[in-house]
Amino acid sequence: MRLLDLAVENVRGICTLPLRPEGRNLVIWGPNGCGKSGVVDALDFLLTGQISRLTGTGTEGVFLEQHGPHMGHVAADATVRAKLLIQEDSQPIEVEISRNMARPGNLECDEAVRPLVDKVLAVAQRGQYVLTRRELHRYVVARAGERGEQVQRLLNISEVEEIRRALVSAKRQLADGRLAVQREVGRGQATVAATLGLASYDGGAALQRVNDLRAALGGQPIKALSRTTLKDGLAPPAAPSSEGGAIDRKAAERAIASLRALVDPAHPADRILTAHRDLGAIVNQVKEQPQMLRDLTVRQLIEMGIDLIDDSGACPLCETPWPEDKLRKHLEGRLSQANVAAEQQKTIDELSSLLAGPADVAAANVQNLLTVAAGLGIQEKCQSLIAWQSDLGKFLTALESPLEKYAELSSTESDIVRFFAPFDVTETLRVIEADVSSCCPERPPEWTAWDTLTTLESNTKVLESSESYLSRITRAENRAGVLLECFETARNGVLSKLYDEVNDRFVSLYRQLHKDDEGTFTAKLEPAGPALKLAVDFYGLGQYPPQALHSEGHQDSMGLCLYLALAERLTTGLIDLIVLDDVVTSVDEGHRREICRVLATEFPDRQFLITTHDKSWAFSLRSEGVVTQRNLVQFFGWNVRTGPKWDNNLDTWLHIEQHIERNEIPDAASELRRASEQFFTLACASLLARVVCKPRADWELGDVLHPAVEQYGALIKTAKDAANSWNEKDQIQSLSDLEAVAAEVKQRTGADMWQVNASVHYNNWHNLGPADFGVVAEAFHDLWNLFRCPKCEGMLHVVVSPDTAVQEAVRCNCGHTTWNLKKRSP
Amino acid sequence: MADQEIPPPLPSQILAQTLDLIKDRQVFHPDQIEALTDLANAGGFRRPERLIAVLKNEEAAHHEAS
Repeated sequence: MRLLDLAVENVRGICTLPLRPEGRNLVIWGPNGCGKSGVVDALDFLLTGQISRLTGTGTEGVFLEQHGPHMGHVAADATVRAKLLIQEDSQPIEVEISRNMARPGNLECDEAVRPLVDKVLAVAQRGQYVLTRRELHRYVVARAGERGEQVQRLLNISEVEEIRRALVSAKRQLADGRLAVQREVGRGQATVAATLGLASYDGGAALQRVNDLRAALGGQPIKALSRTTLKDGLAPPAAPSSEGGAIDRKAAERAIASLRALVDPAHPADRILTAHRDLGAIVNQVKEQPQMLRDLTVRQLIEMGIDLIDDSGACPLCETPWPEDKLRKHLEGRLSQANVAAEQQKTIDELSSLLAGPADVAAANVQNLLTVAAGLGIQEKCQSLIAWQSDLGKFLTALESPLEKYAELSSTESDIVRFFAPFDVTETLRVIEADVSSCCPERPPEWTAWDTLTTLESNTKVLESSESYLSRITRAENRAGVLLECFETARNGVLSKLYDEVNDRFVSLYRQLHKDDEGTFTAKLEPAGPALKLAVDFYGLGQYPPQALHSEGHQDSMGLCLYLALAERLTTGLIDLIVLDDVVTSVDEGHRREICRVLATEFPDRQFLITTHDKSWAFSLRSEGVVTQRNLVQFFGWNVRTGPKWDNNLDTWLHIEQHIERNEIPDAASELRRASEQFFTLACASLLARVVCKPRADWELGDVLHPAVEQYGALIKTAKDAANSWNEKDQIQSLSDLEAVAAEVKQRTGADMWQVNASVHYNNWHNLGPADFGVVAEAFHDLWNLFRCPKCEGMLHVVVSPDTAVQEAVRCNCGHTTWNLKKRSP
Repeated sequence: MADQEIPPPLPSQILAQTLDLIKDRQVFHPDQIEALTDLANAGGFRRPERLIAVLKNEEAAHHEAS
């Protein structure tokens, strides 16, 4: 996409502005505050529906609708229109688009071309075609985290971090779910144990009890405890007596026996007491070490925090900014400490599990007895059982987070006795037993076995369901871990490849800009998690952050090169337009000329829109052929009522002509001399002409004109010799013609005379009449043109081999003009 | 330009490589990989609950178990 026309009405600092770059580079220069960036804002608004400068950090209270239109205008007055050139099937087509600030989301264009326009706008939305000075610094000087954020924003890959967070979240939710299901499985096992009269769940013991029950019914033993096989091959025994209702006397008696065993003075069992003592000791030990307690308490938070550190490197919880990578390292250090504490946590978990098993069984037995009591209608006699059930519930809850709750709940052995063997239930158990004994007749053993197996079918159904779900959720958790790991591997691979490509291009561009002092420059751009590290070579002395040793000008160059490398990688084929908004303020003039050459030679297929407040940079862009005279637009005289004034007829020769027409010869002479001093100073630098050194570099025309003309002649002669050696007859003829023209122009300007006494000639110009000065001006105009490419109008320059320092050729930036200077080897 | 082959956005490239990588890991059933591919194409990878639904997918778990 190229920009043919741009018309701005009442946007930011601009009232009315028509620009016609016609798909070619456009340079807007003028002092600060004259509305240059308003053009960038207008283009931004047209392509994206917003103005980046009015969004983001530091723009609180600034709104597009209120601050986008020019002062004193409403949003409906603010419109941007453009004519674009878009390639479709290799055919360029012209597309007109416009956007009004009252409807920023609505881009108006011919519906037939909207799909084409949408494609371009999708890229433009990412803002990849605009580089401002503010962003330039963020690419280079920023901390790795911020740089990563900035570059990722440019790459439009913030979505990648969103996906990673979702994967982390999914993995954590599944882990939390697994822990909850593990508890359900524990409770299911306890219920099975209670039904079978086991003190705690043991798969082998449970199977043995089941096979005993099956034997009572004449069945064969089964090999595994499964709901579907519990009654395999068994038939129900003969119908029992209806007395006693549905209450299974034996089951009630088992529950009573089991609980009585717990409240027996010999209990709680040694292993429970031992587990209780050990758990209490370790919990107290951890609590006495605040750091360990803290590490254990926040371990999961630390792990989650590491996973959630985003591109900015800031704390994911409170958003406090941290220096590059420091938060990650800090948390990893904390996690390492916490890993020591994690061993303690493991022991705590094992002891908790040891205590939870029998407590679950006790709770299940208490529940069974309460059900029996309800069946017998004697609930009012069971208050102590109800209280016990409540205590067991509290105990089990405490075991789920023992560090916080266990010590408070059971600080002494009498507490554990209370939970496992409350003194006051003995009488209740006796009452229930008596009622069961009197109200529930003995059943034949085979019926007891059948009823137990029936209950067990229900218990195992719940247990198997929990176990099945545990298995599924564990697999899902495992898959989530693998998915996250694969995603991070893929992300690192894709981004590393991209950064490697960008890195190579970045280094190549920077070397071209600084071939005089950093021709062997190297750099390493590498991802560090979500951050992006940039280390650059400093004169072969090692790799350092860019801001450590390089000057601000060098950093600007780096930012520009990095941006160009990224933009090239991301917008090729979609947006040819690249906007550089006042980006080279710290780069010295010599390197700016190199930037011009890089823009012209490395990006010939791009259209640059460049704004600058620096006249010399604008002049360099013109003299190096990056921009034609007609596309060099000056902004000046801004005021609120009119916005900027502009002038794109800044051609020196046009001005001189106008002065001559008005008989303003001193003004014409002054302009010719001033412009020629600038021009031939650059010509000397470009053609490597020798100039007398002046400490303050204040060369006058006489200092630079003669050396430039002499060097020009010498280079033509060298080029002719080289062409002769290669027997390039056309080139010989072309150079001979040029030599003749040069001799004639030189004669007309009297260039040789300037070396003798420059000021005399300058003063003489004042005394000339319009006709005589017109001849001088025309001669100088022709002389200028000798030093410029007839096609791109850029200044010719000598190309020197970086390896051998040999002058290889004279070229322009567009490649149209080339004089080979190297002779054929004999 | 309308017919021009534009390289997929980086997130799409990363997801495509992720799906390639998980094919080599023995923990996913082909049905699940297909479901994850559909989810990726629908932009669902940014939704943990949708990821969890696929990761816990009953049908795939059944296949896997068998």
